[in-house]
Amino acid sequence: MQDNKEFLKVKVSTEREILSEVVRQLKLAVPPSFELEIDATESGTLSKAEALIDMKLLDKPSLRFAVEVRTTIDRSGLLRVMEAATKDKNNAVIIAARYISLPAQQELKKLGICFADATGNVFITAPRLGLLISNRGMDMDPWRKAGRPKASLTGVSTELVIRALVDMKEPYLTAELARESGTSRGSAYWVLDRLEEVGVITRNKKRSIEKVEWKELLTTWTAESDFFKTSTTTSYIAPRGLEQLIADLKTIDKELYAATGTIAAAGYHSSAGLYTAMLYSTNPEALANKLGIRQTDRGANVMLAYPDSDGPFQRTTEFEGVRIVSAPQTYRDLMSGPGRNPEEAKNLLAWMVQNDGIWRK
Amino acid sequence: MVFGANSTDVVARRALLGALETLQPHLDSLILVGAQAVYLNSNHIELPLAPATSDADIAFDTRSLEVSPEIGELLREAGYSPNETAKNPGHWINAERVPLDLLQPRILSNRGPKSRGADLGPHGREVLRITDGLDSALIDNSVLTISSFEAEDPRSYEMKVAGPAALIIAKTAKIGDRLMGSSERLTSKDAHDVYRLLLATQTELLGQLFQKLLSNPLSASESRIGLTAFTQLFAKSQDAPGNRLVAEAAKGIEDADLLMASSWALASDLVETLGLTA
Repeated sequence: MQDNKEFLKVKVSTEREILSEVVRQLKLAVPPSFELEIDATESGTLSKAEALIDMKLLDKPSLRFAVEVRTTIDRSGLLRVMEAATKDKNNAVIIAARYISLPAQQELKKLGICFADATGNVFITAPRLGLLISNRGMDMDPWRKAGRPKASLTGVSTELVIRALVDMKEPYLTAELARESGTSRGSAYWVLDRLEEVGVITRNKKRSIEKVEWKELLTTWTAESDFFKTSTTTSYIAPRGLEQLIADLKTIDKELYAATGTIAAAGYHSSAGLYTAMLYSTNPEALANKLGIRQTDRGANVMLAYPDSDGPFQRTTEFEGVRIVSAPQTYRDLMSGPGRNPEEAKNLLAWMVQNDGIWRK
Repeated sequence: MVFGANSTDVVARRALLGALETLQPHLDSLILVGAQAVYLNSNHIELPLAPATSDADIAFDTRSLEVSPEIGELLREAGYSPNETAKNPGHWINAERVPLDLLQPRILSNRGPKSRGADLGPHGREVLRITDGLDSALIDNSVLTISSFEAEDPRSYEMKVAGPAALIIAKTAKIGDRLMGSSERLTSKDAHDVYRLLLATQTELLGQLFQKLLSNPLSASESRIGLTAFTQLFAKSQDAPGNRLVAEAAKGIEDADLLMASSWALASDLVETLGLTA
């Protein structure tokens, strides 16, 4: 099997490029001693390639396949692929793609649909020729850019599950994950299927979560979700300044809030100057009254966020008497925060990578 | 805060101590007002905009003023002379040419509204200036120790210092006068002093002090008018003229929007505590 780096040298940005690489892999999958002729006739544009592949084994009549090209195929995209596969009544069809995910391969095999991808995953069945070519390529897409899987990582349940996956040190059972994230077991399974397809989690046969690529999951989630999209925010002025605000946060009921942003980052590693306090609250008005802060559009130094879900309040900790959200939540919120917040987020992430034993539990 | 021997604050304190030394026979009748009183009331907070004043403003509770020794005589003997540039009674300068303003609260004056010099009988009419906005200092004040910033200067006096509510009334009156179209340049420093006092005093305490002013016949009228002006200048909106002046004072030092929001919020809290509406 080739390694990642070698694949990256291969160009697969257009359908034409994908097609020629797939044909090459197809030929490689056939042992040299096997007298099988494979001829590809390509047509169509660069971005919308069409091709016919003729296979001829010894003196048997040649068999023609129509090739259906895709960039990547995961389980969610299968239906469309299968539709296309049954479209051509005259020829059998080969599904060709840059990469076909493992779950998608299994489905295709079950349905007897031929496929080949540019990493060397090949499955060609031709009963008339008495032929079966099967080869295993990569079990992940080497060309996929970090942080851009197809599955959407937003939505209340999805985000609750993601937060729990990033927060909690594996392994654990799906039931545990559902309980910790506050979602139903059904939702948890649904989200896990998608995350497995894009390769950020690994499950074993007993359906327990064995490995979480937490950094990739966190950065990918953060690219899609942000503080403002998942909460309703209101700006306030703490007229006696943020030091006074923090002193007040220490004295009030911890059920009323969870601090994020720069305040929370300070609880995990040294952080930057505090210019805007970001606080989650399920009752912003009551919190504002308790803190003596006043709503304003301009010159605000406090943002109160009413979250779409319980997520921010899950697995919080206390730092010097102030309740703070978990490190991954802090990272995501800083990435969408004002001023130098995104820079702080990057520093926090670097710390998180070095210290995952401290914050992942 | 770190002071150099000739920093404005050190010079101002030295001048104040000099004035107290000179006027010691009348010390019980004196109330410190103006910027030095503001800083004594707020020296526990640090703001990026450094306090800066060189003069000393002293109000006289002339009800308790002894007929002798004569104030003018004491001052002249100690090297003070009338401040020619001020062209008004009550304005003096010391030998170092640091101004000393001696003032009589308007409510204690027996003269007409256009008169400038306080009528002090044997002390004459040129010693103190009748001034608006100081009635409240007669009610809201407390005795503080005034010592030197310089190690080699042992002088120290206990004297009445106007409290935050009285000083807010005084500053508001000053800003109001200037906004009313007087030709005098608007000084944003007075507005920033109001903000400093609001920030340095808990709203609840400030509310109690204002209630005291409103219920005392000596200060009721002035504080009622003062609070109306204060509300217009600071509590009405974030953009109210007083808040703009606060931001103006700290231009380039602090974020203008943040300052205006803070000043407005503190003023609004006070106004609400007093049961008034902005």
